[in-house]
Amino acid sequence: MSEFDGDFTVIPEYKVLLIDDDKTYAQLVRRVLKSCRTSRFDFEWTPDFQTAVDSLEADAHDAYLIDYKLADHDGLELLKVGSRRNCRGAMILLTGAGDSSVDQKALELGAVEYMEKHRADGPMLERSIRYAVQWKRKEEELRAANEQLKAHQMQLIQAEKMNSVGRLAAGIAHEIKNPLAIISMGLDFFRNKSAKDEGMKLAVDEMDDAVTRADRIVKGLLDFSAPLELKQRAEDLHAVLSKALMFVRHELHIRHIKVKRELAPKLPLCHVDANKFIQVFINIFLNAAYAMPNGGVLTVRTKVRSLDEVFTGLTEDSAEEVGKVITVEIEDTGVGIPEDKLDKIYDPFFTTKPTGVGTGLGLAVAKSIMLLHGGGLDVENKENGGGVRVTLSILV
Amino acid sequence: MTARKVLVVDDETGFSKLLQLNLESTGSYEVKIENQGARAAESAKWFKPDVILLDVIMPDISGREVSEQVRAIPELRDVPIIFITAAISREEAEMHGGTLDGYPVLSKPAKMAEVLAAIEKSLAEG
Repeated sequence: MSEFDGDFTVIPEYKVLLIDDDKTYAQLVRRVLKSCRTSRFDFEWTPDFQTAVDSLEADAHDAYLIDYKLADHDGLELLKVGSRRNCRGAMILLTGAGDSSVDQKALELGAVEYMEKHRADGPMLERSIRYAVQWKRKEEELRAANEQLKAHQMQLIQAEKMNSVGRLAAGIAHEIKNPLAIISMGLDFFRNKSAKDEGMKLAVDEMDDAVTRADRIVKGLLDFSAPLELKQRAEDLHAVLSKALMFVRHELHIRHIKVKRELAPKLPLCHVDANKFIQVFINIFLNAAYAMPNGGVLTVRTKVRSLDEVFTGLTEDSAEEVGKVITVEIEDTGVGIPEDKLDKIYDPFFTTKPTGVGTGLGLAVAKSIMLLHGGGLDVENKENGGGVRVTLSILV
Repeated sequence: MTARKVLVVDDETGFSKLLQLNLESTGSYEVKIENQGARAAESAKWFKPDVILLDVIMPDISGREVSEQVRAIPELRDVPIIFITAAISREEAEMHGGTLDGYPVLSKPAKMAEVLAAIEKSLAEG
């Protein structure tokens, strides 16, 4: 927007579009702006209404000088277009003599300046453009800051909401699990007493499943609300992965899922809370297992990469070594996640599993644990389809 | 075969009664219930259990304190103690090798099969 002119003076440069069906006036404005020494103008002109609409929608100019009277339209229509599109360029309405009634209307429709053509000489036009553009930029900065503030407020509200859920969960978990234990004991009693009654057996099994579900939800809530403290030690992530795989071996076995390990020859030790990482891996493995009810392959891949490689895509050999990142990729050969659901997968209580199977907390918990470690968790459908890839990254 | 004596210490009366029913229905156990943790050591002293199933979070005293009181009684020093609690999840218990403070631990809600397996294992080891 500005350039150095070799004289230690920064001359601002503005891209200006004049929308006016009066060619003579356009030539006059071009000359006036060209002769200006304090600012530089990249001037364009169009007499055509549709071209003007397209330009406002493209929003590629710093300022729009819009004549009130156009052939079959008026400038107010263009102001409406610009406002509707949240045009970032400054819109200045020009009128002929005696059109001062449109002043207020123009302001309401988003014009930042209103000028009568016959009063606007060169310096005044230049100054008006400069002030209008600055005004519009400040307004834009304010709007962006306001948006940011709103986003932060929403995050705070969300965090507070989750915090409340967490506190509530921690408080009531013990009180829920005890009645569940009583029901479970009662069901075991019925099961023994009526072992030969098929109907009773079915009813007891259904109730037993319900107890298991309720217990799983309580556990999910507890995980989600667990205190945010880590017991970090230097750990070998391969050992942590093996332990997590051991915990889910039954779930994988009953679904005929094969585990394929593509592990880096050696991983540097990593400063993590092993139990929390086991929890992350288990949650991801279980998601993968549920995505492959009829069998498949669970691939676990580890890599050591340099930070540069992660951020620039350079290979480790070519990148200057500034730090190491361990990535763990976990892939399934399931059905994948519908694209329209991808942005919701970290939301607490969001699940694609059938009712009663998932709590919708697993990935939210995993993500928060990774963030707590200063790491990352990304979920994507594999490029060639047919499954999901979860990538965990953690600094060594 | 003589029934083995099990002391159930839990402030949840419903849970302890059903646990008693289930254990006694096997014909292998004689069960005494103590719903007040503070009286558990005293009950253990005269009941002389072969194994104690002990809740962890109780209103008047913690399971850990009860275990210490029981261990302080010479004739009960070697009685197996099994914690049974809603305070930790099954997964947490597994992550800690199935023990809490060095004692076997079961997470509520627990299945009777798990309870029986834990009792038999403790008796065999004891």
